[in-house]
Amino acid sequence: MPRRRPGVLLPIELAILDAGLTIQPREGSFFGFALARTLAERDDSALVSQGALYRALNRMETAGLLESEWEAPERAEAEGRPRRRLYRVTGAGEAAFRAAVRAEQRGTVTGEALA
Amino acid sequence: MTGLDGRAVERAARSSLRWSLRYTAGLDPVIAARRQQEILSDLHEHTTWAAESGISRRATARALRGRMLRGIPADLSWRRTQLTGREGIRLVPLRVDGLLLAAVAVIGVVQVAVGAFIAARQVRALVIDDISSIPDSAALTIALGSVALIAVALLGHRRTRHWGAAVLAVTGVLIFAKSVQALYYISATALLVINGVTWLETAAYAIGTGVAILCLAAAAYWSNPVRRSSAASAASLPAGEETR
Repeated sequence: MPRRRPGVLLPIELAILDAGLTIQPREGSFFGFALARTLAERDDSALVSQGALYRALNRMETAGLLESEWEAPERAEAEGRPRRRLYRVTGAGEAAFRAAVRAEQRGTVTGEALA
Repeated sequence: MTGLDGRAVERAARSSLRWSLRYTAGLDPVIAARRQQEILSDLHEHTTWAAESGISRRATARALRGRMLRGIPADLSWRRTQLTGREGIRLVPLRVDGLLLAAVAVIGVVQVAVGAFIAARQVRALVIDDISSIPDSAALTIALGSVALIAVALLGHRRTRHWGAAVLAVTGVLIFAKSVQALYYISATALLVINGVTWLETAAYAIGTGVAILCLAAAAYWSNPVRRSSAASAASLPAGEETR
């Protein structure tokens, strides 16, 4: 199994959870390129590489932070495009994200207090 | 022209697909097919979105190639994970952050030390009447050392770390060569060495350039807001909310 230091979320994982939790309430789920676009727009940066994106998604799914399924082929066919792999942030993923944000806020507050 | 640009998009997409076939070769067919289909979908979504957004085909082709090329290390790492079942470089980004900070901090401290050393030699040279003025190169080295001291302080805070690294890149380019020039005037021993080793100043510039490249890379790495928060995100989560 992948080695994962307990409680550690990588920056890209945090960003994916953040973007996913933004898209999910609106769309119900999200797919890889939609995520890449959201991340790029949010950070005003280049689109994340496919390698980094799908590796992270794969790892997060294995870790139980995300769940995924292929969309129905009929819909993809109707729209004349390849099927999308649709992802959703799981309860564990959302809890991990909230905890990481709280940890970051604690770090910021501590930093400001020391400054 | 448009036709050529259109073919450039197609070629870039084909390159990405070919690459996905290559790095998934020999893997579990289900896993390989899933990755290939995701890449196919991604490429389609990317080109469709770019066309709808009015992005030129040439820029789209460039972006497709860029995404593929930048992702190669991650693709290879993912492949290794699939083959071995171990996430070999799982914690590398965190290690990189720490190593980069250590390296840039050492560079900063060395620059401060160089500035302080030249300042001390300058004072000594003035006191013993070796020279009666302060050479420009010595003044500049001391100033650069002082700026480096401020930059080292900036490294101490996550939010200003990238600025500290960027400043150390600028000071790094100059301080080593300028210190060699300063020593020429304020140290008799250095004068002999410099006269004997003609490539010393060139070497100092080369070292400075190397240092600057490393510092600029660190500045770029830390300027990403996602990465800036990496240390915080790596902070321990409550046990009940661990990611696994």
